[in-house]
Amino acid sequence: MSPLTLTVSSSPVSAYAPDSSEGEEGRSIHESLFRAFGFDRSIVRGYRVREALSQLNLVVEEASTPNWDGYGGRAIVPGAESRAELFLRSLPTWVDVPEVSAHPDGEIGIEWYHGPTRVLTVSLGTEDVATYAVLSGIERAHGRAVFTGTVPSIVLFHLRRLGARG
Amino acid sequence: MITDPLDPLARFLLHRNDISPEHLRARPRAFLPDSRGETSVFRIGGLNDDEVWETGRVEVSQKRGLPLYGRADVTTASVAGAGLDVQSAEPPERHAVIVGWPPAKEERISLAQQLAAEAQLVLCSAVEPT
Repeated sequence: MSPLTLTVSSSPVSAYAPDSSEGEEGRSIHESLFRAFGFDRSIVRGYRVREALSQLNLVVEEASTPNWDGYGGRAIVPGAESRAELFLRSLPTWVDVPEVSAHPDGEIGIEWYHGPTRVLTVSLGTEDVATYAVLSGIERAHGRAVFTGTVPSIVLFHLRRLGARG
Repeated sequence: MITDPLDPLARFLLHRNDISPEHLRARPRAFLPDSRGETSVFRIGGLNDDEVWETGRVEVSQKRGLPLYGRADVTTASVAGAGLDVQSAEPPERHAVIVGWPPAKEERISLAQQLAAEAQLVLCSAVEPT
């Protein structure tokens, strides 16, 4: 493997240029570094993630104190913001940008809303768990799935069914 | 409390995130219960539109110090259809709470989705959602 060089650039896309001679190990290190620095190869995805993260920042700011919603809502609970950010960064490119909001229990909701009877909500809080509920026509489903950095397959399954494509 | 199944209940919306501007619908989170397991609503049957908004402004918006974006109207029958109950919680006059929410968060979200799907959004003309 050739020595690995990290090029610092203002453009994350142009900065990602793994040399084929680096092999799998070099590519993997590149990927890790770019993830660590918040970079991504996809320009489209980059825009979408930024849009969602911008919403997240706003929500966290608005719901940072108790009773932020006027109905006794709890302030954002510890860990919810970081898990929500990880979740948004982990979404596949084919998924459209969700809406981010705070829930009264201090968790952060990530929602795909395609009309009153086509909605998928994921809630993230203090545990490594994604709590989800989906309404698709007259069908309803809900559950909990482990989330430690990879979007649960059951959530992706429901997103595909909902047609939440970007 | 005895109410007609078709009696409308208004959930006054104090947060821009309660509304989907694209679909002009109330979002499910607008119906999620507070820490006491209650969703605050007002029984608005028999009131004219001005009286309904006056209730929202005086009893909800002003008391909580937040702008009134709109309201989501559901019927008592819709609430009952979701397996929930409505209980009187006066004062203030006509105040009630939706109770009977299950302990599991995923079930609460699911029921909130159901209520939002059946709710009628009425925007407050004074404030436009962003």
